[in-house]
Amino acid sequence: MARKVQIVCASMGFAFVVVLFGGIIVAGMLPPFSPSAGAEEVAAWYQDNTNGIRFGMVLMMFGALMTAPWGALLAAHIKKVEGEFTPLTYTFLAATAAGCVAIFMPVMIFSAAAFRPERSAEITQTLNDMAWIPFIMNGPPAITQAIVLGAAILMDKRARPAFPRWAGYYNFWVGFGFLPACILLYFKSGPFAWNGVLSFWLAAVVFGTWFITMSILMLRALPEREERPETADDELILAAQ
Amino acid sequence: MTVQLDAPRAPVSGGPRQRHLPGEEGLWVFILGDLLMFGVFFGVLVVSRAKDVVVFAEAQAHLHVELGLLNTVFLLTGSWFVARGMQALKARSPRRTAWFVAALGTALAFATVKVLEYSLLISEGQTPADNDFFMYYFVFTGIHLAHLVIGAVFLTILVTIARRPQLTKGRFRLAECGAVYWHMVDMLWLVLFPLLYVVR
Repeated sequence: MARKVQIVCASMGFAFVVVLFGGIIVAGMLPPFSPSAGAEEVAAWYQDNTNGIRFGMVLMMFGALMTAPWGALLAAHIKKVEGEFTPLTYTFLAATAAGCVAIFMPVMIFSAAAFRPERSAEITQTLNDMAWIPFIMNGPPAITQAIVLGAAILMDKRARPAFPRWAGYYNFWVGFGFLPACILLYFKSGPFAWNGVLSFWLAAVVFGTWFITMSILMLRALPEREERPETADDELILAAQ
Repeated sequence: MTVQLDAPRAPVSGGPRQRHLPGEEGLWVFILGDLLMFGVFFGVLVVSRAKDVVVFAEAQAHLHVELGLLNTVFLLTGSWFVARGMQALKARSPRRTAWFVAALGTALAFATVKVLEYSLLISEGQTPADNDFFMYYFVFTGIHLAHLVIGAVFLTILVTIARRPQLTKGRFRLAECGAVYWHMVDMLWLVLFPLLYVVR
């Protein structure tokens, strides 16, 4: 049973990427809306794509929570490395929870913005800013996850470590990848703006491939299949013809 | 005491000499990944420059090339110190600690000059908000400076490793990781410096 639970948790990384980016595409947010757009332009976008945005947000809302089992299995692996005293595990779990919120919260605001798109344009623009800014600038939960996980992987001194050592260094690099987005407040255009090459595209590619990579590594770290004692459920009802 | 540090798993009988990757394989995932990311930075810089050659050239004239050059010298010297330190570490030379302390000195000198340069530019009225050139200048050199600070932490670890009377396989591997990282910081600057200060 434990093995099956692990398979589901690990695979949530794939599901997350499909559902999150699927939601983004359905909502028409790829490429992202420019932060330099005027209030009227923003309002028109919500009015023209109302239903697409609404459906995209429902998808992304569920997507956000798919990071929870994925993070929980990683936390369980970190706990194996740490043993009895597990501050890194708790830090990782806290960051995973914050990571859920970091997606969930902007999605709720996008939803509110698409709920009454006919309202006055400045209000829609404010909601749009309130959603896009945290959605892209929310690096620290993921940065914390990546650094803690990287450290735990390199600390793993067991004879058969769960993850290869390169994965530890890879996680440190992933943490760096989310840094450029932290300065997006200063820019309404260019590579550091919320739709920029470095703030959005680099971070999105690193983020998506990180989930997929760690999912694959967790599937490769599955425990051996073990014989399970027979239970009442295994009793034959129909013999083979 | 280990003698075969350079090739820990070298075959006993006269097979071909095994190639040795400094640090460990996994570290190079980080190094190459970081180089890739800076590669994107450099690409962004070159593309933006091509769109706005006049503004870039005008803004570039405000930079203090001599300070940039001084910092280049610091980093090159620092890399040489680290390379000599690694040799001394393997040879168990008594001067091994001194090389790494000297390298740490060049790191601090670089950071001091960089901060001085930032404050000079700002006092002369050049800020990241002025134009794209200065935005890139401050952000990219800032990210590089952050790498350098992490490198200084690594150099401190190198000093403590060198000071220990015994050198274990694990500590030597860690030392190699630190040295490789430091050379990367140096190398990134060697591209960043001409791209920001010199290219016209």
